Amino acid sequence: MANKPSAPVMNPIEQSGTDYLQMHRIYDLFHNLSASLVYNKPEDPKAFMINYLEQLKKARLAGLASPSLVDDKDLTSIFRMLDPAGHGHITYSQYASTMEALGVPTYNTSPAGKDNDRITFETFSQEARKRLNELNATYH
Amino acid sequence: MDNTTRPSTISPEFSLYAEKNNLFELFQRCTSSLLIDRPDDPLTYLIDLLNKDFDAPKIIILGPPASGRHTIAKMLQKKLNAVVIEPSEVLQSIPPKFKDRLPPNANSSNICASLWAELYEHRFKDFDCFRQGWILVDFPATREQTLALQSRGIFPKHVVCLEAPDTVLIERAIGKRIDPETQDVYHITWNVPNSQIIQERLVQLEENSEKQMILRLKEYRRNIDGVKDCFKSILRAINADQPLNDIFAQVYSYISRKPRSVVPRTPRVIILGPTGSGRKTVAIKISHKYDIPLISIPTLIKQQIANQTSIGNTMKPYVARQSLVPDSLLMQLIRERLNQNDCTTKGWILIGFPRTREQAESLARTSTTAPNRIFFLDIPLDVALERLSQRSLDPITGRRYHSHDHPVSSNEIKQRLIQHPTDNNEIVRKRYEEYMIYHDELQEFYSQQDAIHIPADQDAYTVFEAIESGILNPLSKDEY
Repeated sequence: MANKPSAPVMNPIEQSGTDYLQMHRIYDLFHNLSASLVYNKPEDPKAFMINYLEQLKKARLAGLASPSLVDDKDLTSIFRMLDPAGHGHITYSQYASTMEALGVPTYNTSPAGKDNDRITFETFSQEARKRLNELNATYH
Repeated sequence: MDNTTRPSTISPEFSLYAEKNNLFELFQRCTSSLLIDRPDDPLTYLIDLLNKDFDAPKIIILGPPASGRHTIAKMLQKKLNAVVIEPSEVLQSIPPKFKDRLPPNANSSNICASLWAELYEHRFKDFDCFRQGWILVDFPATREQTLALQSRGIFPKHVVCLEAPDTVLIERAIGKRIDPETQDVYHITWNVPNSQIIQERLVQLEENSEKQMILRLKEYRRNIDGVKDCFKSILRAINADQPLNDIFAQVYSYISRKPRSVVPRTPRVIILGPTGSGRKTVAIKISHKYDIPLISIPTLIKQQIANQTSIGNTMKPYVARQSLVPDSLLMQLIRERLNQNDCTTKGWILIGFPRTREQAESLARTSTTAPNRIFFLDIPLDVALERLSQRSLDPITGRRYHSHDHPVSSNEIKQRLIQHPTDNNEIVRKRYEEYMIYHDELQEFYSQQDAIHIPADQDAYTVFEAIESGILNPLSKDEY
C-alpha cells in the first residue's frame, strides 16, 4: 500500500489517513501481529491479539523487548546451524543472507570481524537482536 | 549446502487458519475503526476494540409511510434482540450537554442534520446498542442526515428499503387504526383486533387521512433517492405490497447474509453430477474466468498412466480392465496434486470425484483437500441421453458438434464425424444409474455443508452464472 511515485495524488482525507497509519506504524504492527497469529494458530485469536498488544504496551513502557517470533533461543539455534563444526564464527555472506531471511531490511553491513570474514556469535546475535527489536517495537 | 539459502515455503496451514477465523475481516474492522477515530494511543484503543468487538446487527429500515416499517422493525427486534431506535425516542432522552444546542420547541423536523448525527452517535455508545446491535427506523430521512451520520463514522451493515405504489399505501393508511392504550397498530381489513372492547376504542390518526398521506408521500419521494444513493452497495429494496410474513421472511434472509466481502479467497470447489450434466463445460468456463486450476480426475489418471509415473503404472491394470482404481491410490494422487503450489494459492475445481461416501470422507479429512463449495448438477436421465447421443467429434479438426446446439455446417464434415464410444445409449444409461446409486449418500453427506443444487438442463451460460454466484456469495451467516 506504499505510495508509488507514479500513483495519482491522494485527496487530503486519504492522505491524512495514510499519514496517521504510517506515523503509528500500524502497517508494521498488523504485519507482526498477523505473522504471530498464523504461526501460533491460537484457539481464540482475539484473546491472543489482546495479549500481544498488552505485551507491546508493557515493552513500550519499560523499554523491554517487544514480543517477537524470533527469540534468543532461536538465534542460538540458527547460529549453530550455520556453524555446525563449532568454530564459533560464520562468514560475512552467511551473516548477510541470514539477516535477509529473518526479514531485517537494513542491517550493519560492516560488523566487527568482516575483514577476516569471521563474524562471531556475539556480533551476530547483538546485531540481530537490535534490528529485530526495532522491527517489533511498533509504536512511536 | 547452506541452509540459509533454501527457498522459503509458506505453509498452507497459515492461510487456512486465517480463513477459518475470519482474520481478514477482523483486521479490516480494526483498520477502519482506527481511521475513523484516530486515537493517539492505538495500542490501548485496539485492546479496547477487540474486547468489545461483537458482530452485532446494524440495520436501517427505510420506506414510505404505511409501508410497515415499524411493524417489521418490531418483528426484527424480537428475532434479533437488537434495540429499535426511533427519532422520537432519541428526542426524549437528550443528554444535558446537547440541551442548549436545541432550537426552541424541538421536534423531529427542526433539528439540523449534524446535531441529529451527534445525538445518534451518543445513543449508540450505550451498552445495549453496542452489545445487541441497533435498528433505525424513520432516520435518516434526507440525504443531509445520511451524510451527517456517515461523517461521524456511523455505518449500518444492512439497509432495507420497503417499496410499494402510492395507491396501495394510501389505501392502507386510510384503514389503519391505533389502539390508544397499547399503541398497537391494527387495520380494518387485514388486521382486525380480536376483542370487541379494543375494536371500539380504536382511533384513526390525523396523519393517516388521505390528504395528509399524499403530502407525506410527496415529501418522502422527494428525499428518498438521495438517501438510497448513499447506501448503494448495502441497500436491498423489498416489495411492501405482500403479506406481512413474506416481507419479514425476505428482510430476515437478507439481514442474515454477510455482505460479500473483499477477502482474498481460495475457492475449493467440487462439481458433482451424472454424465451429460455439463460439469466439464461449466468447470472450464469458471477456471478460465477466475484463473482457478481445474482438476479432472479421469484426466489426471490418464496423464499419470501416459507419463508412466510410478502411480500411473500401479493404476494401469485397473484402467485396462475397466474397473475402478482403488480409493487409496486415488487419494494419494489427489492429495499430491492438491498440495501443489498452484492449488494451495489459487484454490481448485475438482470434477469426477468423489463418487462414494467413503471418498467424500477421505477428502474432508485434511484441510488442504476439504472443499468449501459443493455443487450438484441435477439432470433427468432423458435429457442426459439426448445431450450425449447428439454429441459428436470431428476427428480431423478436433471440433465438437451437437446436432441441436452446434449443428454441422457442411455435409463433408458430417460424413466423417464420429461418436465417442461411451456416448452410446446403453452405456450412458448404465453410467447414469451408477451415479444415482451413490447420489443419495453423497447428497446426505454434503447436506450439512450447504451443498448447492443446480438444475442443469438449462443452457450453459445460465448454469455458469448459477455456479459463479454460488462460489462468490457467502454460504451462510457464519462463513465466507
